[in-house]
Amino acid sequence: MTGEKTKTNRTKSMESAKYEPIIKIKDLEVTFPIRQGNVIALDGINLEIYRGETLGIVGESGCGKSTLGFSILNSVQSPGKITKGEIYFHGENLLEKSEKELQKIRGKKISMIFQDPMTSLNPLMRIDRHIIETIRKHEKNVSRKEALERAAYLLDKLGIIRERLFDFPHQLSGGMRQRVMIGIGLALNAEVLIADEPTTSLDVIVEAQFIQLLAQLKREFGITLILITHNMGIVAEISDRVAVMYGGKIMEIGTSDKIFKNPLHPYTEGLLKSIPNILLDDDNLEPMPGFPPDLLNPPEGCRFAPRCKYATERCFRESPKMYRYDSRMVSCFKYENKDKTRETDL
Amino acid sequence: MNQLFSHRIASTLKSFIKKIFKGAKWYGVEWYLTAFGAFLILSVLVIIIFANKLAPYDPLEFVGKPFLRPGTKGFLFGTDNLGRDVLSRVIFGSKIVMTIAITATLFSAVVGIPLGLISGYFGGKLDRVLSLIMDSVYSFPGLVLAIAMAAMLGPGILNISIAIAVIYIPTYFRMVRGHVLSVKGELYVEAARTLGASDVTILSKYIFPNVIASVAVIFSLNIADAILTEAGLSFLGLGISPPTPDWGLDLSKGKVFLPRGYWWLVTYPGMMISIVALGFTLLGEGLNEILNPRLKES
Amino acid sequence: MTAKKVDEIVKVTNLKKYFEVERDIIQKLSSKTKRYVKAVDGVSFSIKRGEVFGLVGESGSGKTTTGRLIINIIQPTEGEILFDGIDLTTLSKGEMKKIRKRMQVIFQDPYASLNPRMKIGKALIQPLEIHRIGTPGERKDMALRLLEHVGLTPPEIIYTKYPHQLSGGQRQRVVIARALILHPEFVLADEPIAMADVSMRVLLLELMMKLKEEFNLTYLFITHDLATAKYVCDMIAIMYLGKIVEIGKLKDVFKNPLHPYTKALLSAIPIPDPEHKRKIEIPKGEIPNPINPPSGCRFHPRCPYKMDICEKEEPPLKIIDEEHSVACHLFD
Repeated sequence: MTGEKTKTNRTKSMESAKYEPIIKIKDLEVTFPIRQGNVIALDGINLEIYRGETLGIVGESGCGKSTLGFSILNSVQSPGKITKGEIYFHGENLLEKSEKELQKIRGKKISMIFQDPMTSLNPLMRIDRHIIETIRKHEKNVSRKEALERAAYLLDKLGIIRERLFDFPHQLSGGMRQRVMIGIGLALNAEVLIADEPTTSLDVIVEAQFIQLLAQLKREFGITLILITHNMGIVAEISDRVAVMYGGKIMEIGTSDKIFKNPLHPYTEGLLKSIPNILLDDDNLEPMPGFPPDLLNPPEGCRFAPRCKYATERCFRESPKMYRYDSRMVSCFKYENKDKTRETDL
Repeated sequence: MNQLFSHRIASTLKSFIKKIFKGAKWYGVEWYLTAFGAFLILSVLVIIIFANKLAPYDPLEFVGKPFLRPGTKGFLFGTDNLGRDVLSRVIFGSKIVMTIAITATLFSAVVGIPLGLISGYFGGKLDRVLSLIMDSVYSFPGLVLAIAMAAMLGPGILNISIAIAVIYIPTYFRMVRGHVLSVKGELYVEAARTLGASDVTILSKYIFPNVIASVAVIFSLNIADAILTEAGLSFLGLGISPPTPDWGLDLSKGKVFLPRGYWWLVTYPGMMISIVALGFTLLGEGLNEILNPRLKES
Repeated sequence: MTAKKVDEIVKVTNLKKYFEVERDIIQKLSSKTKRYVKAVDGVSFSIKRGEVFGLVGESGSGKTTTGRLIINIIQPTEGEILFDGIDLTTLSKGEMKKIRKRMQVIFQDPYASLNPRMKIGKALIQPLEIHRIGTPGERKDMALRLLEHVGLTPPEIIYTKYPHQLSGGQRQRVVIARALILHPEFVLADEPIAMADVSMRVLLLELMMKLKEEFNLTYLFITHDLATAKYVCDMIAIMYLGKIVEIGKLKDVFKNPLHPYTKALLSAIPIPDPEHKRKIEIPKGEIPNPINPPSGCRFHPRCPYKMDICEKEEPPLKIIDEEHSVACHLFD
C-alpha cells in the first residue's frame, strides 16, 4: 500500500497497528422506503475491520446490525438501498462494482451465514452437491472429485463425518447445517466470514460447541470474522473488538475487554446491566426504561437520549459525533471534552 | 340543508380520490388497474339502476325496421332481425346477467364458506367425505356441469343461478378449508382455547375473520367467471328463454345473421360481456395484490 | 366455593405423552408397528402455591409439551394431573371451563398469540365475555385498569389499537394482561421473554414478578435459558428427552449441580465477560432423536462420566438432599 496509508495506520490505536484494514466503511447510509415514509436503517456508519480479527456487532432488533452485514456485500434486502457512503474491500470500493464483479466476491472472498441455514440451502440438493457446485462455480478448473475431497476434508474439520455429506439438508440438525454453511465458505478460502445471528436458532450446548468451532477456525484459517448478534455473552466469548449499535448508528467501538469492563456509552452500560449473568451472586438486574426508537420518526439529537439517564437538554437537540476516548470511539457528549485525539493514542 | 349535504358528498369524493392516488404510491400500477376495474363495475351498476331512463326504447318492442345499421338516426347500435333496438337490449340485458352472476356467486359462497369452515375445523370423517364430494365436483369441467344442471333444472333466473352456483361451491370450500387448516394451528387460536372459548366462538371470532379477507378476492373473480358461464348457457339455449333481453341469448340469436354481414347484433352484447368480466377480474386480481402483499415480493 | 385450598396447586404423577409419527403409505404397508415420539415420558413433580417453578430444557426436551398437558390443551397418554386436588383428565367440558378461569397462559410469541383481526380491547374483554363476567361497561373498565396496570398507557388509546400497531414488548404486555384479567391462581409462562428485545426482558420479568405479588399467582415458568430462570424461579426442574434429570431448589441446583447434563448446561451459557474461561468440557453431539431415544440413561452417549450400567438401566429420580433429586447412576 502507499506510504500515506501506512502512516495513518500507525497513528491509530496500538491494537490496530498490528493489522491492516481489510474492509473499510465510510459514512454509510441505508434507506428503506416503505409505505409510511423513509426508514433510515443505517445512518453515517464508519467502521474499519482488520485482517484476522473478530468483530462483534451487537444491538437489539431493528438497530441495523443485519443491514450492515448485508451492506458489506452490497446486497441490502429490497426495498432497502445504500443511499450514501463507500465500502472498501482491499482498497476497492464495492459500491462501484458491477453485479458480475460482486458475485465473484460474494461467497468467494466474503462469505455470509444466517440465523436459519435452511433458507440458504436447496432442500432438494444433497450436501455434497451444494459444496461441489459452489466450488466449481468460482474455480472452474477443479474436478468434481477434487472438490468432493476438499468438501469432505473441511466438513471433517467441522466435525461432520463423511457419510453425512450425502444427506439432504433436512436430515441434518440446525447446528450441522450451520457447519455446512461455514464449510462452503471455507472451501472457497473466504477471507471474511459474516455470521448474522448464527446461533440464535441453536440450543445452548450446541451454541457453545459452535462458538468453540468458530474460535478454532480463526486460529487455523486466519479468517476474519464479523459476528452479528444480540447475545452479549457470545460476543464476550469470541470477539476481539465490539461495535455496539442502536437506532441505525454505532454508539461505541472498542476492544471487547474494555467495553465489557468499563462501558462508556450509557446504552452499552444499560445493556450490560440488564442482561443476566449466571455467575454473579446478586439478583439485581437494572431494567432500561422506554422503547427502542421509531426509525421512521427518529428522535432529534442523540437517538438514545429519550431512554438515557444522563441526558441533558443538549442531547435532545444535537447529534453527538464519534469521540475518541480511552482508545475507543464513543458517540456521547459525555466524552466530547475528554476527546484527546491522537495525543493519548500515540 | 341540501347544500350541506352536497358539500359533504363533495368532500368525501375529494378524500376518496386523494386516497386513490395515495394508494397508487403504495401499490404501484396494480392500484390503477384495480381502480379501473372498480370503475367499470360501477358504470355497469349505474346502467342497471337507471336502465329505464337510459334505454331509448322498450327492449321487447319492434321499434324500427329490421337490420338497421348502427348510427341510423335514433338507433345508435342499430336494430336486430326483428327490428328491436340493440342498445336498449344491451342496457336491459345487463340487469339479467348481473342478477344471475351475483346470485350464483353469493349462493356458492353461502354454501361453500360454512362447509369449508366446518370441514377444516372439525376434520375427521366429515372432512374426508365433504372433501371427496367437493373434489369430484371441482374436477368436472365447469361449463359441462352447468349445462347438465341447467338441463335438469330447466330455464328461469333462479334455476340458472343455482346451476352456475354449483360449479363454484368447491372453489370456496377448498379455499376456506385450506385457510382454516393453517389458521387453526395459530397460537392465538390455542390461546382462545386456554381462555375457555367454545368452538362456536373460536370459529366465529378467531378463524372466520382471518379467512374472510381472501374470500373477497375469489368472490370478484368468480363473478367474472359466472358472467361468462351465464352467457355460455344462454348461448347454448339453456339459459334465459326469449324474448328476455340477455347478452348470451342475443349473441346466440345474432350469430345466425353474421354471415350476412349484420355484425352489430353480436358485437355489442359480446363487448359488454368482455367489459364486465374484465372489470371484475381486474378488481379481483387487484384486491389479491393489496390484501396479500406477500405474493408481490417474489 | 373451593372449601379447602390444597397446598400443592399442581401435582403431576407419571405423566406421559406419546405422539404418533406420521408414516407414508410405503411405511404403513411394510411394517405394522406404529412409531411414537415420546415427548414426555414419565414425569412427576408438584408445584406449591405461590412459588415460581422453572421447567428448563433444550428444544425437544418435552418442557413445552408438559406445560400444554398441565393446562389440559392436549390429553396425556398416561398419568395424572391434579389441579388444586382435582384430576383434570376426568373432567367434562363444562367443568373444565370453570377450571380454565383459574389457570391461564402467557405465550412465547406475542406476535402469534394475538388474533391479528381483533382490537386489543376486544382481545382483553373476550375472556370476560366467555365466562360471562360483568356488564359490557364493567368489562371495559376492568380492561382499561389492567392495561394501565401492566404499563400500557394511555389505556384508552391502546384499547382501540390492533396488535400490529404495537411493538413486541407492548404486545407481550397485552398477552400478560389477557392472562390476568380473569384473576387466575396459576399461570403457565412459556418462554415469556424469549422473543423480546434484550433491553425489554428485564422489564417484562419485573412486571411478571410484581403481578405475582399483587395477584397471588403461582407460575410455571418454562424456559431454555438458565440465566433467566436464575432471576425468577424458586424451584427448578431440568428436562432432557422427555424426562426430568434433576429437580430441586434453584439455589441448590445452581450451587451444587449434580447431574452431568445440568453441569453441562450451566457451563454452556455464554458469560458476558471476556475474561471468563469455561471450567467444564462441553459435551459432544446433539440431543438424539426422541423417536429412538438411547437405552438406559438417555444422556449416556454424551456423558463424560458414562459407566456400563448407564447403557442398560434407566436411573430413577433419587432424593439426595431435602427437595433435591437427581436421576443419575453416579449417586446410586
